[in-house]
Amino acid sequence: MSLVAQRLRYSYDGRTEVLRGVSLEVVPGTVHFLLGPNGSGKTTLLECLGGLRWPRAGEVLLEGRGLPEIPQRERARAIGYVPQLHRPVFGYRVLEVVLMGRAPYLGPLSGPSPDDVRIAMGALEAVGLSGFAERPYTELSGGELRLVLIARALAQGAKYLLLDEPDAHLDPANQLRVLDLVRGIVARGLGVLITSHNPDTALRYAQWVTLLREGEVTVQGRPPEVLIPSELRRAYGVDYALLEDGSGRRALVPLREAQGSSERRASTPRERSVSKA
Amino acid sequence: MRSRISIALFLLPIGLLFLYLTVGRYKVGFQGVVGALVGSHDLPPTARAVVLKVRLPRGLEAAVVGADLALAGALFQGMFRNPLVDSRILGVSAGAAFGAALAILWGLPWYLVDAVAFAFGLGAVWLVLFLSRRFGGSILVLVISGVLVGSLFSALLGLIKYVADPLGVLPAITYWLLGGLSGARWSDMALLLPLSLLGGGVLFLSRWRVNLLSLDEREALSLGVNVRRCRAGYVLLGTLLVAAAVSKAGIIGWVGLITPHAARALVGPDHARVIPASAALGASFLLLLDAIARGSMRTEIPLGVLTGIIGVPVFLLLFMRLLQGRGGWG
Amino acid sequence: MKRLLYGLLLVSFLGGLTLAQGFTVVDQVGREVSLPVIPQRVICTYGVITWYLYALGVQDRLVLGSYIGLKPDTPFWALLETIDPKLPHKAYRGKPTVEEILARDPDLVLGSEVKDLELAAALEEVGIPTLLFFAETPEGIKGALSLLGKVFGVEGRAARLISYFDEKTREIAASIPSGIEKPKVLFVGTDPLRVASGEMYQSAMIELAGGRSVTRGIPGYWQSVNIEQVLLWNPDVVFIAPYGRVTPEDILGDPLWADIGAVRSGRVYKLPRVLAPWDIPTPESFLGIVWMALKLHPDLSLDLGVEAKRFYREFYGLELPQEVLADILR
Repeated sequence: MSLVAQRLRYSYDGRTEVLRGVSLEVVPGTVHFLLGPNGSGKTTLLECLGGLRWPRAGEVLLEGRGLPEIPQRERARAIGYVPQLHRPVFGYRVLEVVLMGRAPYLGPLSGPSPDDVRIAMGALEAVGLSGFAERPYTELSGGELRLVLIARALAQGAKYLLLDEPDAHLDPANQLRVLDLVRGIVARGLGVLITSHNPDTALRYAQWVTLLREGEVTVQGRPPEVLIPSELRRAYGVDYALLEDGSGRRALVPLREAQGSSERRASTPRERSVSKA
Repeated sequence: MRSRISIALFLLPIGLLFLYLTVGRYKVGFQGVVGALVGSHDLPPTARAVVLKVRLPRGLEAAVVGADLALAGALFQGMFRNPLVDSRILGVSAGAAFGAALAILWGLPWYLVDAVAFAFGLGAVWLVLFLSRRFGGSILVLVISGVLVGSLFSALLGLIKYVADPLGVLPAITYWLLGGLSGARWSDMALLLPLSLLGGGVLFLSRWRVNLLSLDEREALSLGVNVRRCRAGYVLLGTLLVAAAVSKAGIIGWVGLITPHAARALVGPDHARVIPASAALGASFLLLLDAIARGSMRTEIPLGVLTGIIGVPVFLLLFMRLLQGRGGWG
Repeated sequence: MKRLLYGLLLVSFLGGLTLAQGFTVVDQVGREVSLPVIPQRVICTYGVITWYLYALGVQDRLVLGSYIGLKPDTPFWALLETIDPKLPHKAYRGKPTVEEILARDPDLVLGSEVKDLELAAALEEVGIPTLLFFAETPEGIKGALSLLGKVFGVEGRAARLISYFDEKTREIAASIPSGIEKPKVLFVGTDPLRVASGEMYQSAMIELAGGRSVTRGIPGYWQSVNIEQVLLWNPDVVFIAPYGRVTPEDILGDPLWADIGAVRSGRVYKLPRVLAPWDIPTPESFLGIVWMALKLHPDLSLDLGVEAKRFYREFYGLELPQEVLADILR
């Protein structure tokens, strides 16, 4: 029982392919990180998984059924999507935003019931923002806003969450807040797919990692097997050093890129003042 | 607090309607109005006729037209995610104006003029939807199509005005276009009321969903909303309301633009509340303006002119509040 | 002998020069315009003044004209054609360009003070004199007539038209006993609630016919009023313009008008029309004043049928057909 993408192909204009036969699986109870450079197709892949775009070839299966066969409302009750950028237009209150997550359960001519409100409040509590219910969500910080949107996805009753770069544009404290929340959500049985630019974060939070480059999967697997410098260089074209302290904690640190720059650094101020004289 | 505002908003148009019945060139007075309404025969028959056959139908028409335009404005502002949207954005008014001018040019009787205006208003939006579907159907395309179609019908209207006989036909067209309810009578309600109730009723029931349309399209899709179909449906509802209002009252702008802002300032941006509040405020606004239009001078002040004169400064005020970040916008 | 011949030649040459110098007139805007010759090819862009040329019998010198209120395929067009077979080549609608005017090679252009100032300036550059007219009041009509009489060398006829007007208005004023209250009159146009202001010629006609225009003091052009204001005025007589689609039955049968004096006594009348509408400020409107006077004071000793036959015969060279006469006398 999982959300599976099989050999997806997608192109925007019919010529350049953005996804070239990508397969991956989101399993309930796990955090799956999707890494890759800009333009590798991460967001497109996310959107295909969420039924927001239709692949030219390949298919997406939700617990064994193809997405196109599942009515849109049913899909929305199973898959939650949190975009990277959310531009507020109206200053809705936080609770009102989360309530919108109940849309898949409401008919076109009805609005939320007290039960829906209760569920929305529950979702807000789950992300730790129940005190914010009455505040306009335009007054929130970037991290809090991200949490509200996650709460909205929870209010959908979704079993699978697709988060597009949830840690982007956030300061370290907020990043931790969001990622720790994700860990908590997954502990309750949801499957979460996260796109990220941060291999280091993946190291700490992922149970499964997919590396994407130019629309193709370079490698997939558990973090210790995948998040190694050789694979990262293949995917990103960047050298990483894998550091470990004795207690088993590991971190990935990018090394300097070009060789030339290290030599330039070697010229000291003293040499410059000598030449002046 | 919230429910107190709701009650006040509900009572406002009713109270204003009663006040509306008491003002006018023909002096009737408070007791006269009450007497006429309860059917007392102590009143001279002319006064009774003025209240029941002249002012009451016209007041109801003003309230309904105001509510229709405000509802459409609130709906379109939410759907197009734009605070500067008026009920005229999709070209309905321009289409209806052209239809009316055409009907007058052809010499049709007055009741058919309104029907033709309504038909062309719907036709204009059909054209807009058709164009936008062909070119992608995004909000931008929808708005541009609306502007194009509106401009097309305005240009055609100009053509009609040019060839119209300046003695008999052109004044009739100008009179219609200026916007006004001076010929209001009970038979007008036959078309206006059912259409407004239909459009307004469906919109009222589905008002919460407008919140979803105010989201980015991908987010709305992920929440299970069939965005294209929803948008088309709401466009149709809004068009019904605007076309009904315009075909009866001519071109009246600004009501659809200003009222939703005022509503948002009072009840917050949740469309489940903005939409009914807009209806109440729109009805009240137009009742007030029409009382001025028909009662202040010997001649009628065109309603479209009054909404503009009062609308522009009010809009400027609201716009400044917008820029300062207040008023329910992001 | 040769010297005599040369002398004669010199004298006739000088004499010819004087003749060729033409004359100077002052138009109704105060412009001094010199006309080199008696005009033979005239273009008239002022829809009102064109009709004057027929009253003065100089229509054959008109090569292009705008005729207010005239449309092809109407009985009025047909009637006009009987005294001007070249009508289809002359009549135009809309606004002529300077080139169009030049193409007709005119030696004089008649225009309106309100609309043709720029045209006059442009034509002056190419050496075509333009006379601008303002003929929206009785004084304006008389001034236009005497000016045109001078320009076309038909001063006698112009003077006779003016004295006809003076004669009839004097007769009317004399026949109305002093001290009685003059009937209140409302003049409506293309809609029962579209009324002629106090400044319009129609109100002046009413006053000259021995009535009192209820819109006295209201400025401007056609104005919209609502039924309450009409109830307040309570006119004794309602006149309807001959153009447009309003009929006396529309007003007599409308329940909202039922309490108005004019409706109760059945005194709602539509103005007749022979060539130009009788409420347009042309010489035909003199008959309009007589017609109005007879409606307002039925025991006036004027015979409209006799007056009309004589008027059209003497000034237009037109024998009124039986149906037209019957229509006037309805």
